[in-house]
Amino acid sequence: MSEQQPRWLILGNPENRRVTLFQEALVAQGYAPAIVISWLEYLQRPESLAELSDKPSLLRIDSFGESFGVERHLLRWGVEAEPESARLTVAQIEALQDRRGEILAPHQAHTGLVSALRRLDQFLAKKSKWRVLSPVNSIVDLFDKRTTSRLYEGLGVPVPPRLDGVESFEQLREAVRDRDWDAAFVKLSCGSSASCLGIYQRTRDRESFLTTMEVTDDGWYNNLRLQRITHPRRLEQVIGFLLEEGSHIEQAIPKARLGEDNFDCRIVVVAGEPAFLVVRQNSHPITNLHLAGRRGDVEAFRRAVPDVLYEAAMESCRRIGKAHGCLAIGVDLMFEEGFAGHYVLEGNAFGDLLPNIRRDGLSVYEWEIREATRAVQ
Amino acid sequence: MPRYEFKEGTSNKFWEITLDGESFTTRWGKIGTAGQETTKDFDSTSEAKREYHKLIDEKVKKGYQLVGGDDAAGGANTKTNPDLEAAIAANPANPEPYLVYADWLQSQGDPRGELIVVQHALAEASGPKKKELHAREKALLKANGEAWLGQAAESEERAKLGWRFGFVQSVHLSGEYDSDFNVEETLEHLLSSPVGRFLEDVTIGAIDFEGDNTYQGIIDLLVRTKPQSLRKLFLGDFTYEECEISWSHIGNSGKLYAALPKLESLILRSGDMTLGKIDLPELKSFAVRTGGLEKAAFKAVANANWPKLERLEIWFGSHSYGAECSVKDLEPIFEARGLDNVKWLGLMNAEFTDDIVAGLVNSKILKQLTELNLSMGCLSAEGVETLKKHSDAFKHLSVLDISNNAIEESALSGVKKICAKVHYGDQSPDRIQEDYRYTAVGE
Repeated sequence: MSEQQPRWLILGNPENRRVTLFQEALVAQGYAPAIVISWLEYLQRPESLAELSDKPSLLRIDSFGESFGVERHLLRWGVEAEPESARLTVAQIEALQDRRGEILAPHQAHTGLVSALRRLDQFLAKKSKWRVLSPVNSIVDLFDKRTTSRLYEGLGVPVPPRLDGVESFEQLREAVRDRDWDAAFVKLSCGSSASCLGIYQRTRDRESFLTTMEVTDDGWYNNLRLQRITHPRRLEQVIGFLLEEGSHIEQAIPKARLGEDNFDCRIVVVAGEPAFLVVRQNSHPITNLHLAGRRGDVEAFRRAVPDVLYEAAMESCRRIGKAHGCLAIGVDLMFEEGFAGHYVLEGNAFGDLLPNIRRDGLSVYEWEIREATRAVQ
Repeated sequence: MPRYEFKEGTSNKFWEITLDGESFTTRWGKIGTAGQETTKDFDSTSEAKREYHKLIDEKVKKGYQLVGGDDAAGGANTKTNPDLEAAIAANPANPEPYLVYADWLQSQGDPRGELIVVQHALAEASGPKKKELHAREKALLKANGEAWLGQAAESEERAKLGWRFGFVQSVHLSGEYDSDFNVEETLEHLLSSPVGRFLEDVTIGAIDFEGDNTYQGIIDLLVRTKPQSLRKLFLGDFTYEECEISWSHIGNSGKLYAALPKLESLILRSGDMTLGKIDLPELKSFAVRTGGLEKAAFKAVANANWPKLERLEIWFGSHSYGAECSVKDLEPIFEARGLDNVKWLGLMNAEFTDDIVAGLVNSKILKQLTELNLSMGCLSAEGVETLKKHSDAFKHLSVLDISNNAIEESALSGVKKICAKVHYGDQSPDRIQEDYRYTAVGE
């Protein structure tokens, strides 16, 4: 039996718990641990991947994040791919210090990522016996919130109203005023984990930006403690930066509540079906768990949301799962205040890290492994 | 529609203004002619209203006099007698002058006279007599409520009224989602109505449910009407369900103080506020409750003139919501500058509670306090250690409140003994995190 089992490959950051937990899941499911190709290795010497033999394999592409070394290489790839738009030169990249949470040049790193993924796709085309669990093109799409918002809208999935073509803070201010929105999310289009985003809010005589970005004399950082920026020049500077780097702007729709908290859901769709759901709740509208958000009570959530609405939300997840064709994808979904409707906020290519939850005795990763191998056999 | 006239020398002019939602129409010309009119549109009703009152103020300053058309509440059968009202105002708790006024009102055929008598009798009545009086009170209010109270007569939920001898003594106004109930207009009606003549206590809950919940309109109204009877004011008494504290705004209260010199209690609760120069000679109790206190607002509190202040409550809030103060800023409080009579001090909802405790130890203010409230903050084992080590400095307190902080269970032993009564429940040790910066995960 084990002869017929496909070999597992992971492209990821080996020190990251995403990889170690997946390896544990493989072993728990009776597979040999995967061969890990590190992002660092791949970015330094892309051929390393091509050198692996073309025998039946399942390739899991996992996150490149949380690694300063990888970020540096992505920035270099960014210079190579688009020298004219690079914020940092190769020399500046060499000189960078590892300062935890520092915001460097997200668009440039994203350009590097897309270039590295395209290159990967070329190699993969030659591996006829490899099955890639998440199509590279889908990963590229999923790292562009403007693309996914349009894509989902086209699928008939409700997404918050979007502002396109906004290039300056002044335009943002005008557009938000024209539409009579109370608040708008400005999210770096290629960002994730609530980095480089905020809520622009306007009232009659004030405007502010509630954000995870911390602006200091010693650089800009992702900060778990939300900051409310009100100073006009600072607002212009921070929002101007996000727009320049490429941002997705959508109406900030008041979220439904559980008790006193705002909440939304992360749903992991596996092989096209919503498989795991966590409720994320927080006293403010940015609910990400690492920002002091809490995992909410799923049962209380199911009691609160009407069945018809819940089913509609799950159908949206199915459509999104099918459209991307990924084995697993993390969908962020919110319900409108008073449970008037649902909106899909984001799809996350690597949104399947939900440790400590199990379904039918299986962790998310174990579930994915079962679904992946079932599809092969 | 108010009509103003100006007669001086050869001038013989009139000016009228009609406010209608987001616009107003002015008409002006020679007295005796129809004159000409123009209508101005605004983005919001509140903006229109502000401009409307501004124009009236300008005309009054120029010497125009109100000659009629004012739509003040009351109706034709309402009478007022300034001398008798002055007698009540001199001591609003004393029923005698009310009864004198009631006689006069009844002689004028004003049903408010009977209301005074009925409510006065109610205070002492019992049994079937009481029931009878209640029925009569209800009937009077039903017959006259709309004229006396305007929209406040419509809903006991949105307008909670406290009566005293025929006058509204306290009111709690709060808007409601999807309702036409207008808090500002209701208060304006009450303040201009004879039954609101001795209004002492005003509490305003949520005003606006469509996003920005601001109290500037209420402040402007109070500045304009200057209700001299007002003693207590609370802006921002809303629940989490109604409104987020960070999404509500006091606005600028700078002009409020001169308009309400007799104020004894002021509570401001909102996300942000501009306080200006606080000068309240009669104030005894002040509270600023916010999720993020800006430095400028704190300075306004620290530099306030309130020689009679006994109770001072400050919420500092979180950095994330715009809090800007650190313990360094608290020096004037520690030194009790201008706070000679303060006995109750709350330095609450702070991220630097440990530092506050350290600052209090040798402070002048601590010695004069009977109650100290440090709740809802980030007091940790370290701060508790300071409290215990210097318990001599705190032992004179009758109450110390360190509840709802970040103290670990193990550090709580012995806190009970610090002073006569210590509140220390509801601790959340994980409130404090060391490293807030994070690396994007790349999902």
